[in-house]
Amino acid sequence: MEDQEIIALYFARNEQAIEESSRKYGRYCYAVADNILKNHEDSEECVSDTWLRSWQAIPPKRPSVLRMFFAEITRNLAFDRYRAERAKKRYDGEMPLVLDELAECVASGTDVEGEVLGQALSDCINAFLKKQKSRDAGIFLRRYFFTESVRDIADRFGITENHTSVILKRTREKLRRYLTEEGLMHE
Amino acid sequence: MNNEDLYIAIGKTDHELLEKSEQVRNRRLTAYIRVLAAAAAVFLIISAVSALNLIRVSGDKMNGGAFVPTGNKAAEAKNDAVYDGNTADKEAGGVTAAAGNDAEIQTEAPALSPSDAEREEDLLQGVIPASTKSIMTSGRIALVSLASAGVLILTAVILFVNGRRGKRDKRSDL
Repeated sequence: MEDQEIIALYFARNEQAIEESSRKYGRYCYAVADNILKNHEDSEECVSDTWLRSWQAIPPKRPSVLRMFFAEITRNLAFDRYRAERAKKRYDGEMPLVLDELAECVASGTDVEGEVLGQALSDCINAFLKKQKSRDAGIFLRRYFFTESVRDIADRFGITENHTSVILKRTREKLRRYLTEEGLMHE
Repeated sequence: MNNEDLYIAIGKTDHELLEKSEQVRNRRLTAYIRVLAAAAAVFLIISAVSALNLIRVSGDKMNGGAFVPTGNKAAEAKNDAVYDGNTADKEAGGVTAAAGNDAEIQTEAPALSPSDAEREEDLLQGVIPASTKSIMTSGRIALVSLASAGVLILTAVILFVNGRRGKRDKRSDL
């Protein structure tokens, strides 16, 4: 079924929308959750919660790219679960590494706006990524949005793991400078 | 702001940008498959050229086979005509001429045989004629190239299917 038809089902409050979403994007969302949690049951629960959240969000929202809309919800749910459970459970995989890497961007920076982050920071990151080369932005997003391993990213982009790591490091440096220039961080 | 805030903020990235990054397929795998496909195409071309050569050479041989007897028949007819002429000469009264013509007939008759004899001799000695050798060579090249192309295509298909299966397994339920 086409995405627009699935969205129409959501707008019509037809429960078949969830069934169709699960059929078309269930595996995809599972992969997104599993990259973060590396746990079958938890990932399954995140995917189930994704359909519930989508049901609540559409309408009024009308996603432009349905797959990414689901991916975003799943990622947020998985990360919430990761934060809530990490004291009790030992989550292996890429998530701790990804957070460590991102810590480099904010390591010595002091928080300027305090609570006024949120959307401003997101807008800033969006603007930053749009200024980057398509490949570099893609690699950054595969790592820090989809939480993919460096090896998977290297395979996807046809470059070596070392090269991927270098690109990620340079992009993080650039992001750090950009956030400082935009006034979201002070050195 | 800490790393988790940053991670959450990245989660609100523009969907179009995200979709763009999703469009990038496994380039390394694609490159391997392309190289294999190119090599397979080269082998297929070699195979096709060899097959065409094979058809041409075997066609020549068949035409040659048909031509020789016709030529012989023509030669025979010519000889007959000469003989008839000689007979006419003979009837005209030239005994010497008739004898000469008979001698000509006798000398002309074996003129066609040496190549046949050589061929028979070659066959007896186990020598393969050049045309047959050419057919065999073309046939071998065509077959080997076709087999190589087949193996390469099969490898590319296996790589492609494995790539897809790997991706599906990764996304499927454990």
